[in-house]
Amino acid sequence: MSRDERWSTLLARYPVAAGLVVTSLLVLLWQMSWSLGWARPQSSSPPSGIVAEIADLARNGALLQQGARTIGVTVASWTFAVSIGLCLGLLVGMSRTVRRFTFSSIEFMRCLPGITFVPIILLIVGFSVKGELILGTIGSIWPVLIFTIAGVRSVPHSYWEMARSLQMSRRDTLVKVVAPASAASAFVGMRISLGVSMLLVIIMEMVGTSAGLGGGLVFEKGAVNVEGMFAYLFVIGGSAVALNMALQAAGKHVPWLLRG
Amino acid sequence: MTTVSVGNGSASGELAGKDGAEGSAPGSGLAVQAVSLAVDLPSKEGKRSVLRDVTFSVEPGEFVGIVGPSGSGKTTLLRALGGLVRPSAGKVVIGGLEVSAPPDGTGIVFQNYSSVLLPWRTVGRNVSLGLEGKLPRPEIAAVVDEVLTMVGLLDYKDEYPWRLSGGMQQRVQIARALSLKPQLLLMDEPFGSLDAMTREELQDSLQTIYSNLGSTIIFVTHDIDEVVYLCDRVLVLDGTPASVADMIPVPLPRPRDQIYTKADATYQDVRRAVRVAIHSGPARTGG
Ligand SMILES: Nc1ncnc2c1ncn2[C@@H]1O[C@H](COP(=O)(O)OP(=O)(O)OP(=O)(O)O)[C@@H](O)[C@H]1O
Ligand SMILES: [Mg+2]
Repeated sequence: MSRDERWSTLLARYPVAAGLVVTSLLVLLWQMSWSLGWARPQSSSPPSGIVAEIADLARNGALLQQGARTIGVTVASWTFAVSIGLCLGLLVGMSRTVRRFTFSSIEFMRCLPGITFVPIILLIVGFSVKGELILGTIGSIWPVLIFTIAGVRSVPHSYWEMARSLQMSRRDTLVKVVAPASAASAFVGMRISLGVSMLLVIIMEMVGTSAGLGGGLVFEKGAVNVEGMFAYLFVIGGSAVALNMALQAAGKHVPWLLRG
Repeated sequence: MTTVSVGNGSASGELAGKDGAEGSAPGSGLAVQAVSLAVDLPSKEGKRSVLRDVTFSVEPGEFVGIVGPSGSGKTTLLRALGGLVRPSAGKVVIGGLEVSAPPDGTGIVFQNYSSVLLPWRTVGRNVSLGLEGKLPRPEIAAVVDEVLTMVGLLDYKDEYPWRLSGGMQQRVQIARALSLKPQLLLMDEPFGSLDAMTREELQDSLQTIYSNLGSTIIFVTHDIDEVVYLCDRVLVLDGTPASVADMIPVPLPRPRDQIYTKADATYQDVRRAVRVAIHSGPARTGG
């Protein structure tokens, strides 16, 4: 086996490691630029400093608590959004009448940036976990809803005919044919929704509740602690990646997402 | 009209004493009538008349083939018989009842098997789809095993359909139709996309199933050899809109054999008659 082949088999076996090659090189370059004094831009800091800061924050327990809060509220509001979006999506997708009456409202809501609700929520419920949950839910219903509707609409005609010819009940057709056949599309929507709900929860934390990772980031900014800000930035990024990976891993266990 | 008694005599060779399976009593086919049946389908310029004044009747337990040029309306006719498309005039009567939705005791085998097998369900659970909630679980399991044995796929019960060959997938679909213990099987070019060897093999499986089941079968194909080999009568559809151009009896004894039946002079005569009928239908005059 040639050297090239050995590398490519190695990379194929560890796709995540392979994907991290470029990132690692960039981080290395960043660190070297500081250590060797090539460039030390103001209001930035070297990776080593950020890592030390993350370790510091982790040691005093603040990071764990804030992270748990942010992820908890994100997952909770996403769960609400997904429950509502999936049910509504199946209903709207299945019924032409419902679709006709809801089409423009859904179209309007999904185009409206979720952030627009921030002042309204401030006024009505104030900045609280409740407000975060409401915003996170309202904002992330739309992707899962839209993708579920699209999934139902694209269920092959042959599936409906098959269900009719087997004299399956409406309920069985929905549960055993239509829902599973729409699952792959709905799942894409669920993944987008997860990102949206995290975004909105962190915005609420930053501008309102000053809690969680968003609150921590703003606090470090107030303290003019650049390393601290970067530390939060990477922790937030890491949490988002971890959530997405967890969802994808969970998807691997859903037989409905199996494709021939 | 030919009266062919099929399905009755052929069951005698079976293990008669072994558990008295109820639903599969031979000779329990449904009678089918189409009376001045017309079907319009939507098209770019409004409605298109696809079938007009289609009248024929099929005896209980009879095996009738439908042939005709591509696009003549064979699938549409089968869908009308199966209650999947509403006639614009006339009616379909199955087992004495006018059809308005898929009738009881009717199994449909679709042309494109891969688009009617659910990829997230195993073979066994695809077959059980029409039984779930209608029978107790142990009974469903027994029926699934029974029909998968009939099509020779019991070993693949826990496999996913997309891991099977085309012929095997079509057999899964046939097993699913059989699971309903149908008294009428409507089959739309079930072997159309299979290679010649697989096709002959499945034709013979179908013959065996037919003789054991005694149900009525209406079989759409565009293969003249296939229709003569399998059927008791051949309905030739032709014209635009299509109607019954001819109804040709196939006086060949059963069981039939791929080699000897096809070498029979009667077989050759019928084959020629069907071929002539297809190419001299009402729409073909003056071309
Ligand atoms: N869903 C549909 N909507 C509108 N028109 C249709 C539809 N399906 C078929 N048709 C039209 O009806 C006519 C008959 O189609 P059909 O599928 O019944 O033909 P066929 O005899 O089964 O052809 P083939 O041998 O190619 O399967 C065709 O002219 C076709 O254009
Ligand atoms: Mg057809």
